[in-house]
Amino acid sequence: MLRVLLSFCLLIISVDVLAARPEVVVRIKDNLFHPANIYVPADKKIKLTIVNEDDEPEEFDSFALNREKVIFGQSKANIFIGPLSPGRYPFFGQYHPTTAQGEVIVLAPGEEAPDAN
Amino acid sequence: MLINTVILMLRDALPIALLISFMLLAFRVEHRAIWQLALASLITTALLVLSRNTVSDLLDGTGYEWLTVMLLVVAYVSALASMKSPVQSHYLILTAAPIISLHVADFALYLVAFGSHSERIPAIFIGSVLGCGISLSIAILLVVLLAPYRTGLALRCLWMLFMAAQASDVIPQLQQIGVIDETSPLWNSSALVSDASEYGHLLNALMGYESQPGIAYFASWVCLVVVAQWFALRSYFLLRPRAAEGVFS
Repeated sequence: MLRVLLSFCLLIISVDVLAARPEVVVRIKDNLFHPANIYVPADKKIKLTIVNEDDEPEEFDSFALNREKVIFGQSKANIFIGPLSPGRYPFFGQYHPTTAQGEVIVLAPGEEAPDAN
Repeated sequence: MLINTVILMLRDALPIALLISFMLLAFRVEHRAIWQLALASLITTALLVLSRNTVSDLLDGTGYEWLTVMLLVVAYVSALASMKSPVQSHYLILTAAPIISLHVADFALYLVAFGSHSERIPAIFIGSVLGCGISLSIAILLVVLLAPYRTGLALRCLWMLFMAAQASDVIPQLQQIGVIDETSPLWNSSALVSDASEYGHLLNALMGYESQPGIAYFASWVCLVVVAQWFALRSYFLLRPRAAEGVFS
């Protein structure tokens, strides 16, 4: 019984992890996020790929999203966000908080982003 | 750079300072165990720092989160085991070393990355000293306030609440790598105490405070706290007679 339960849990987790998610790419260059504003749809889980083009590491940090991830220099990392309610969720680079700033802007159904990411 | 270093130091040093305070108050820790803990933390930290880049790339970029989850689970289970009588020092080491190492490794990464620039060293040094000083001050204040209750039940309950709070960080880690879905916050108390504020940092380190917790975080926090408190109460009331024999501090 325990084996069946464990297998079921692992199956659920692996299906969830491997399932294809909408992906948004953010680049870090000269201690700035590009784009700084990320538009995503509401109630969808999003894969955020952060590419650090600088030589120094940066820490993607967001209190609103409850995320914290170190991205090494000339490297990339993935984090998942959402499903989120419409609104603005600020994020920043913990190592360069005065310059590396941005927002995840979650659009309500029917709302459109001002320009494509 | 100075303010940022203070904030980073505070974020990583405060939980360590609180952990050591609680541990020294709740248990009679021998000098030998303190040295063993220091050595275990040093080795684990070195391994985390040296392997972080490689581990981060494993499992489709989720390696470091899984390692963090594993270390937090080891710390929590060891904390539960430490509530047995007699208290064995290796359980305390297994409880404290993962928490200390995860935080020290985070700050060490920052030091390694930015300390190599000579013009930044003064700001990093002063910021580290200030952050460390603030954390130590809070820890000493805690020791002074709680010292009269050091053999009491309250301190064991606080120690286990602290460890449950540390373990509840497993949920954001799993949400970050997409294993658990995010849900709408159950409430929003950020107007009262913001996560980014000094009080937010302190309450987070002490009891796992989140201003906008989702159902997964809140439910797991409650479960971890209830189990931890049960072990604390059990050890106090059922195993307490052994304290008279000098087994407990």
